[in-house]
Amino acid sequence: MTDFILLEDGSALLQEDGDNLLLEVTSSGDSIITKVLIDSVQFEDYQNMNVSRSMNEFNSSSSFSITLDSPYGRHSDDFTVGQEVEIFADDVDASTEILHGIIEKISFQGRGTSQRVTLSGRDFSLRLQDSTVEPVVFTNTEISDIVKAIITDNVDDITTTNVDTTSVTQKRISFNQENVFEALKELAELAGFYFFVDVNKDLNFKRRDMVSSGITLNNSNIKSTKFNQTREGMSNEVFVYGDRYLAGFQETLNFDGGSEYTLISKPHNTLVQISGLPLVGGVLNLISEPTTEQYLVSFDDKQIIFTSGTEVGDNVPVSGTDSSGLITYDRDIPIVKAGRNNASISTFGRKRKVINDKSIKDPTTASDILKKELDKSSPFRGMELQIKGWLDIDVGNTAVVILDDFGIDDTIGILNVSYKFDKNTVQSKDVIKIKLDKKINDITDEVVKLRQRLDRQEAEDRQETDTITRLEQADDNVRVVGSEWLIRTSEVTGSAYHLYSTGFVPPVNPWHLASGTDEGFMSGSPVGSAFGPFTTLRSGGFYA
Amino acid sequence: MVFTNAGAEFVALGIGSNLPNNYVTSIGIGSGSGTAGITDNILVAETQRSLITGSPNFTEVRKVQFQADFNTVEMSGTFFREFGIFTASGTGVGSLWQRESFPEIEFDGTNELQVLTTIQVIPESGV
Repeated sequence: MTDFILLEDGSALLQEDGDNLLLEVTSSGDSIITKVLIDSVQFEDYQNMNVSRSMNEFNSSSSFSITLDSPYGRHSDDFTVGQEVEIFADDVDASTEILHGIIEKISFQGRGTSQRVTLSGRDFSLRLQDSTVEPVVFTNTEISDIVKAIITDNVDDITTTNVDTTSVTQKRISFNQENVFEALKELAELAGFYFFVDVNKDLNFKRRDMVSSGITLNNSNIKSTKFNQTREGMSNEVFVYGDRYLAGFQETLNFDGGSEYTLISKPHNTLVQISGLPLVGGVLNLISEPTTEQYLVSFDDKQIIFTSGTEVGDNVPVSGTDSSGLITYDRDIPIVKAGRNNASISTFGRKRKVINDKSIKDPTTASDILKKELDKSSPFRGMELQIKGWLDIDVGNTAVVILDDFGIDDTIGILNVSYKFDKNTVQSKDVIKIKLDKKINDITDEVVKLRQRLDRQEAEDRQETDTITRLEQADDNVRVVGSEWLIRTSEVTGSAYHLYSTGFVPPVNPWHLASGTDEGFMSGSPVGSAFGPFTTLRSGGFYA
Repeated sequence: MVFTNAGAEFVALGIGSNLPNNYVTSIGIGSGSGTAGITDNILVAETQRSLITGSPNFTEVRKVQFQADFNTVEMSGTFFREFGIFTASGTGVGSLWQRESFPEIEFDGTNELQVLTTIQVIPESGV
């Protein structure tokens, strides 16, 4: 016998001969509700919509892609690049904003009834990606102050209300037209923070793994799991090479009768003096027979070689008579720091990383970068979880993850939350996918690293004191409008003082001043005006 | 009412230079008809031109008001249909900056005329 029992949670229990067969029945109101506003106008006819919310460690901005039906060009002129997009979604009333960004690309495909339009873009962290930090040096500055200064001076539209104070004061750090996003990533790594731009266009700069989302992810809400561990991206032996400096040095040469003398360092800009008199120098092997050079420099061998020959004469110092000489030169001092994590090397094998960056101008910066790289001396662990149901999640927060199959019961940071909305997923509530822990490097990250190395190479000769000639273009308008106008007349009343000759016949004869008996008051004058009040006969124009 | 291209050109010049006589001094009136257009340079049939009465009025910000008065003799026999503002004072001289036309007003020597006109400058990003 089969019994069918409808349970309160919408599922149904089917019993047959004592065996339980569970059916899931989703009631009609139990789905995800979304709302899409584009320039404050709501659009409800999307076919599918993908939203990805990320923080900096995911190496990308939050982004969206919305595909709408556009039969016969329904939406042909509804959208323009630059329009603001607001996306809301939750399982109650679509009051939760999950992304606020702008349209960057509009693409029409298909024809007739099957035509559709795809809108794609990013959130306002695109302002960080699209701006660079003009040459600047910060010394003895707390990192959150550096972050705020960078945003204020280089980025439009973004506020810094939720930039939290760090406990790290950076002795020295410089930026030279680095992408703002990359600059903030570097600062976040130095401070142990993460950042993202929220729906209110505010930069959130927060300590990593400090805020719990209150969510536990386990078999009750995880539909499927991808779990990766890899050595890719880790490093347990790191060399950091910064810029090189020339510093002056002096050595006293004690002559023993020989012609070759070895110095302590490789010499730049050498000057050899014997008894206070400077000698003429040259480069070893540059010419076959020296003619005037009294000594030659072998840079790589760190040697001074005194010459002798038919033309140049005997310049080899004689022991006793010329017992010593003074050599002054510049020696090359590189900024180099090296470090290793021996425990990681013995467990996972050596993974060496070499960083060449001529923008590193001081040992402290090199040291900070070294420590930051050695923090990545364990294999990267990345998780991707497909979630059942709706969860209100913020990137950067932590979640408790319990995966019995992998023996995991840990509090882990959330890197990325992606949403896939279509008619099936909103009904089944299989919308959310979460990525946690560390981002596993892929081709995109390698391309980003190559671009960064190229940027650093190109930035080598840029100085923060370089004068920048600017071209700024702007459009603005001024309107000059004719505003209000009035045509007014007043009538002659007849009472006036006459200053006309008696022969005057208006309107032919003009007024002229007469004298003598031709002057006088009109009858009834002089009180009153010759004219009545002004009356407006015509008017027009406008005030904007 | 139309502020003409000629006027706009002078306004632009005025922002960047100190050209002499680059300001309105007179109002001309005429008997010509025809809708005012921005390419108008002269009145259709100018009959009189008068220097503005007193000085321009700058009481309101971004506005300037001009007044011109014509007495009964000057207006007598005139069929008044148009007026314009000029930088030059001689009748028929120079380009007009603004022109307006309207149904005629007949003057028979018993009335005098006063013309009041206001120009406003509006920055496009705000009002």
